[in-house]
Amino acid sequence: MDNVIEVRNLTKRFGSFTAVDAISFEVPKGEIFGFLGANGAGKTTAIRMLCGLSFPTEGSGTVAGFDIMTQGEQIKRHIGYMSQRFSLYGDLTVFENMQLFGGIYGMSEKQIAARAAELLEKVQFSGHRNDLVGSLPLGWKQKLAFLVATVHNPEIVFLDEPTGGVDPITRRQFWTMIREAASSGTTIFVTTHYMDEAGYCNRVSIMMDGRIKALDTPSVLMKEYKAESMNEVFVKLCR
Amino acid sequence: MNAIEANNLFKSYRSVQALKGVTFQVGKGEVFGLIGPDGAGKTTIFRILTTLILPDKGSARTDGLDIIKDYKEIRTRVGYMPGRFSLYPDLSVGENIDFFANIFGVTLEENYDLVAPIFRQIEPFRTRRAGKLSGGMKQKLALCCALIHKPSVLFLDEPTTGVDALSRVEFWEMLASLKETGISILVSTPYMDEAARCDRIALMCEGLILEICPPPARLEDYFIELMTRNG
Repeated sequence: MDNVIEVRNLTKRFGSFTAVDAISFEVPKGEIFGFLGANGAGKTTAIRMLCGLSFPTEGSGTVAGFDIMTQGEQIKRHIGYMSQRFSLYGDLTVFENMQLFGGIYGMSEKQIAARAAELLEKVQFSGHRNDLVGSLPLGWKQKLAFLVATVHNPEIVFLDEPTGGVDPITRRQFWTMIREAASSGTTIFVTTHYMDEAGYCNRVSIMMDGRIKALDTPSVLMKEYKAESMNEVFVKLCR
Repeated sequence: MNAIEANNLFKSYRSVQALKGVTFQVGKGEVFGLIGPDGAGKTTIFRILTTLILPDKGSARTDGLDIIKDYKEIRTRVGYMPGRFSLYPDLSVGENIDFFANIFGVTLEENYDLVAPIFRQIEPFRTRRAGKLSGGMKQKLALCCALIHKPSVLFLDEPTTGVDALSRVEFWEMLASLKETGISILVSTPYMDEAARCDRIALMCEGLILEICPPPARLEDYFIELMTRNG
C-alpha cells in the first residue's frame, strides 16, 4: 500500500447541512497534494476528519494506514500539522519549541536532541538554537513552524495556508523546503489561496459546495479548462 | 490636488520601527497599491492617513487636509476598511449598514448608486447576522459600510487576505467600477497577482518603500531582485 491517504465517499453532515458530500480520493506517498476550494466549500471540515479531529457521518478511509472511523488517536500521532494561525511559542527558544512538540509526540530527550540537530543543520540554523522564537523575523518563524511540525518524522504533513503574509523570498524558500521534504518521502497536503502555489503541487483538487469538482495535475487542469494559469482554472470552475 | 500626500513618515512602537521615512503621493482617482509582507508597515500607513494614530515625524495630507489639524474633517471624507473584520457580528447585514449610515448622517438610499453593485450581492442576506456570513460576503458588507457616506478617498487594508481566488477576482472587479466614479483608492495586499490591478504600486519591506512604479510584469521576480539588492 503506497497511498498515505485513501478516502471513499467521505461525508459530514451538521444537522440538515451537508458540509462534505461523499468525496473520494487518494494521495500517494511523497506527493505534494493541493487541496483547494472557495471559502465555505468544506475544506476545513474535510481536513479535520483526515486529521482524526472529527468523525465522518458516512464513508470510509485511512490516513497513514489507520482507519479514520476508529483510529483517530493513532492518526494524530502519525501526522504533522501546521497552520498560519497557530504555530510556535514566541517566549520559548527554537530548541524548546522542538522539545515541547517532540515531547507531546512521545519522543525521548535523546531522540529530540538528535532530530533537532538534524533539522536545524538542514536549514543552516544551528547557530540560532537558543534564540527566542519571538525575536526571529517572520520568515524564519514560518520555516521553523514547518520543521517543528515534522519533528516526530510524520508520514504526512497538513499545511493549512502556510504562507499567508510572508515576503516572496520566504515564500519561495518555504516551497523549496516543502519539495525537499516531499522528495525524501514525506507526503504534503496543503491548502492555499495563492493560485501560483497550486501550480507547484503534483496534483490539486478543487472543492465546491462540499464536493470535489476537479482533481488532476495542474497542467492537465489548465488544458482541460483552456486556462493559462491555475487562477483562471479556479475562477472558471467556481463561477 | 493629490488625494494623498505622505512626507517622510516615521513611526515606532516601543522598540519596533514600523515606518522609517515613507514618502508617496496618490493622485485623484488613482488606485494605488501598497505591496509587501506582514511587518512592512502597511497598516501603520493606513492608520496615520485615516487619523487614527499620529506619526512620530513627518507630515501627511488626505484629500488635501492636514492629518493633524483637520482630523475631524478627514474622518467624514474617508472610507476605511481595516484588515481585521470590524463590523458588529451580532447585528444583521441591514443593521450594520443602517448603523454606519446613521453615524455619517446619511441613508442607504442617498448614495445608493455608489453602493448598489455591492449591496445587491449582499441584499439576499439582509437579515442574517454579520458574524454568520462567509469570508467573501463579510468583505462585501465591510466595503459597503466603508462606502455608505460616499467618501472621496477609500482605504482598504488587505481586503482580500484569506479570501478565495474567485471572491478576490470579484472584489477587484468591484474596485474597477468604483474607480470609474472618480474615487481615489489606497489598497494593500500581500498577493502579488493583485498588484497588477493597480495604477501604481509601492513595494514595501520593513518600514521602507523600496520602489514606486506601475506594476511590472513578473512582479514577484522583480520584488525578489529588489529585496536582494537592498539586502
